[in-house]
Amino acid sequence: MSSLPTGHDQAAQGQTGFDRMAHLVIVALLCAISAAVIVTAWGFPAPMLGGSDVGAARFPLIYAVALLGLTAILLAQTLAKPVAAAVPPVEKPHYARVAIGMLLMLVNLLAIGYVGYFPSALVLLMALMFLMGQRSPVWNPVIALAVTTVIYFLFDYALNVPLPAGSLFE
Amino acid sequence: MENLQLLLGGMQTLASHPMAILLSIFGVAVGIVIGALPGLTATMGVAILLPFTFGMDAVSGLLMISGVFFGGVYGGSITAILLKIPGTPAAAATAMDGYALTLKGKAGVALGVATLSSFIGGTISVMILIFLAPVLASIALEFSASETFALACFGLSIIASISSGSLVKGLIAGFLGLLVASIGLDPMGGFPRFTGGYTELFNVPFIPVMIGLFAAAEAFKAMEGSELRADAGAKLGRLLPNGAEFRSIIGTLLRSSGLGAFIGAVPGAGSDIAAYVSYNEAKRFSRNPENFGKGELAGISACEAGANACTGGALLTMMTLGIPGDAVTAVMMGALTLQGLQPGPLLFKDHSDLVFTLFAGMLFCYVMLLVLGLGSLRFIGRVLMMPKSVLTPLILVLCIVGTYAINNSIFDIGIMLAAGVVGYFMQRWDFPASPVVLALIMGPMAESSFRRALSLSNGSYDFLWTRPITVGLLLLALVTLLLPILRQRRRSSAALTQGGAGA
Amino acid sequence: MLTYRNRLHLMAGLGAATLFGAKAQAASNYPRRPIELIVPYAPGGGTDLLARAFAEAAKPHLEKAIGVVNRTGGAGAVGLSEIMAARPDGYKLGLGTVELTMLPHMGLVSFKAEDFLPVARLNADPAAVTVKADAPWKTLQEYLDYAKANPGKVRVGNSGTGAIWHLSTEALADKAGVKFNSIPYDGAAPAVTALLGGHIEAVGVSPAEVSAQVAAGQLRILGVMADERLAAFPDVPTFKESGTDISVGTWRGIFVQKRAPDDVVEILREAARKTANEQSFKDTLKKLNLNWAYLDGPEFSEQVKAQNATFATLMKRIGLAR
Repeated sequence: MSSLPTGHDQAAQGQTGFDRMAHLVIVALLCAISAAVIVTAWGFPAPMLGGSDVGAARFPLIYAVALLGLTAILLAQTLAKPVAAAVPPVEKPHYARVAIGMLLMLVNLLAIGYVGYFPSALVLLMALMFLMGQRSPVWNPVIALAVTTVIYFLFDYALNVPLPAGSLFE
Repeated sequence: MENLQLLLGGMQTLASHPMAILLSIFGVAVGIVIGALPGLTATMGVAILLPFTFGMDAVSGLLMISGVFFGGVYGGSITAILLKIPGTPAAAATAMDGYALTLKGKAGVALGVATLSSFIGGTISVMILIFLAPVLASIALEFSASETFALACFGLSIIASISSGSLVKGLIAGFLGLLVASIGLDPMGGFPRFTGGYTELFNVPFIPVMIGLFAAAEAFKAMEGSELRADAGAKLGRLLPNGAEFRSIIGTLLRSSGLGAFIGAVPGAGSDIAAYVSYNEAKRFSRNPENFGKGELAGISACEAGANACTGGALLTMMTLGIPGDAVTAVMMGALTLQGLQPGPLLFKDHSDLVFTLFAGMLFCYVMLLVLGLGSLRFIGRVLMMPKSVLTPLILVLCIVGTYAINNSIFDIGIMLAAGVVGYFMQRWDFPASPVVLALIMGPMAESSFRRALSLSNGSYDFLWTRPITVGLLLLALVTLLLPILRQRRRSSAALTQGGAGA
Repeated sequence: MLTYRNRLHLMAGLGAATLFGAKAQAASNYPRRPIELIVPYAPGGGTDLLARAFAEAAKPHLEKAIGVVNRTGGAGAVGLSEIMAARPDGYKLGLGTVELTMLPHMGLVSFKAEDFLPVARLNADPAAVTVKADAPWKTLQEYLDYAKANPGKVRVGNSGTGAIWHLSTEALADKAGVKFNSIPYDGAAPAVTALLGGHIEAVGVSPAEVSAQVAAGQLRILGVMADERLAAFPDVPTFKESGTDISVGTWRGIFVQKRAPDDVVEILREAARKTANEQSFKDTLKKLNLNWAYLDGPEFSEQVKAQNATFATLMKRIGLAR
């Protein structure tokens, strides 16, 4: 599925030091989640319906305990796997670009409530296209404007879903 | 045979009703578009068109709505296969094999098989609705909370069979999904769990999570690549499966259609569950189960036939019992009542002409789905020719708009984004996303029906082993869960001996 | 790059800003832009269909159209919270249901029933007790006697814990001194399905929600919790007639934020009164099996207040209040 050197086939043979580290971080995260769930669920009220109900906490507790068990297996698997030297990939994935893309989405999320759908989507589209290497000064705004307008009319008028107008303009 | 005559009569009535025919074509087309867009569901499409039916005659209005319903269930598969954006939860199952085929340059045949399977599954389910409605309705009533719990367990056990790669990682993803599914009001006591005080989290934010995990995560991944300016280069290829391919899926098609129609009739179970169950059974019966998840046509066929066959089952309980099985049929029931037709046991007796005209129209809707689907695939498939640098931003904007559309909520966009980031890291470290979706579908159902069953039996756990359907489904769940574990154990021990020999 | 609608909003915003503090002034030519009607439930349900029918029928009575917006989630809590938090300018109406007098007592939400100003009640439906047609109880009295003799044995389905049909069952138990086993379902329809399948003994939902099965002879309504018999079911006795004085039901009506300007509320009340009396609106309600029950703002307000107090004590007694 993935072209990255972490595919299952590779994993069976060994893992890079980086992968091992990542898996240990994941294990820690999963433990933290399970622990948080268990602590929170402990405070849930007792079942209201008396003896015929198990209460709000039972199922989350079962899930969290099962998750802890599975995490332990994952930890064992990770530690058991031999560490191989990293195979240098043909080309390094652009992680910085992914991070910027996520950040742009976050900015859009924060802005959309204030400025509304239209300006935020327009800017987001242009920024993302620029980020991904589409740098035409003519076509980028044209495409962005066209897409934003089409979506706006499709949702707002044809589908009757009002898109956010933005509290600044209300 | 009486029903057959009534159906033929219905077809005649329909033929003399050009308006109804036109509107049903329109409905199917609208449904496909709505289904294909992330976040917009068949329910929403039906609700949007509902007010327009007020001024129409009963047949036209209801056929238009049926068209939207059918088209909406099918439409989700198109974007799932081409872009890994499942428009509906059921299409998340289709995406597993469909997108794998697109990556191999075989998007055309994947779409073709999906369309064909939707058509066949849907047609079979309408046939079942026409000829077997009373039988299936009485079975559906047998399903009480304990049977539903067992069905949900069976559904959850499918996590084991859709975890390509590491089973442990698949199960971890599944249990994470179950934890997410327990966010919100507790189904029996109404106590808010893990909501942090946000009313927006009172209901499980299901669709935003799904859009994030699939579509947004995939878009983030697309940013890693370097050939950004170059065309995606993926070819559509031929649309229709060849003879050998068709023969290989015909058994799956029939089995999935039957399963789908049955699951659709079960109260509270819908096309998402039908898609996953059909997929699981297709894999179980397949001669090459290891191919599933890597681009197996039978996998697509199973999901689509199962999901579309649900439509007939869901309509069945609504029309025969007067009880809507899901949100879409609830809206359709509103449409029927607004037309002065009270759905329920008397509908077939008092309005049999109209009912069978509707059935004839539903069959026609499915024919149109096939025609419109196959006719437009070449055009829709061009989306693959778009440069990634335009397509990826477009997908992300659609994720935002589609997520917002579900509840008109900006909060949901945040959930989608968070799920997208988590999904990106999940696929980076080979944690599959499908188990999360499956857990979100089945988790609330499992918990609420278990606790309801316990209340129904006054606190006794007897229901787990005294009811035959429950026991059967629970055993099936156990088999489904253990099979891949055994298989993996055998494979890894084989690999170990091989590796040992090599060293 | 403003769209037409955005520009309108912008103008309205600027207008309000310049006319500093002039509450009445801002409302003088209300409505100047489309009004939103927030529905706290999913599209296609009874509440949603009622809202859409109202919006349609209101067209001749308001200068601008009403647009229905569904804000679902949390048993209505999300949509109701939004109405409460809305700008009090009358451009965001809410379709409130009886839940707005119940959710606050459960400690789930930040609003209180007093945060809403009732404009008009549109519909009201009583609770009922419905059993299978082949059930041994022919009358309400037999049913209650059986329940008294077998405490906790009679399983009554409702549409969710803390929902109105749950409370109606508990209110009956409280009044008649019996104990039911209340089983919550995800809405009224699954509860009725369970009754048809024989998995429970009774349901506490409204008569409209079982009318199809009653007409087909599969189910039987033993009694309705209304003050008078229903026109649609003249043979079904009220609880009052059979000696249990209880009257519980749901209602749906138009609400605004409580700080909305008085003249705006006046305009809305007038429009709602005319709309509710449109024949087309009444016809739609009839088709939807919803009981038309228009009530003007002030009287409706009294009812909401009284019910709020009743539920507060009842929910505390049965352990639902937190």
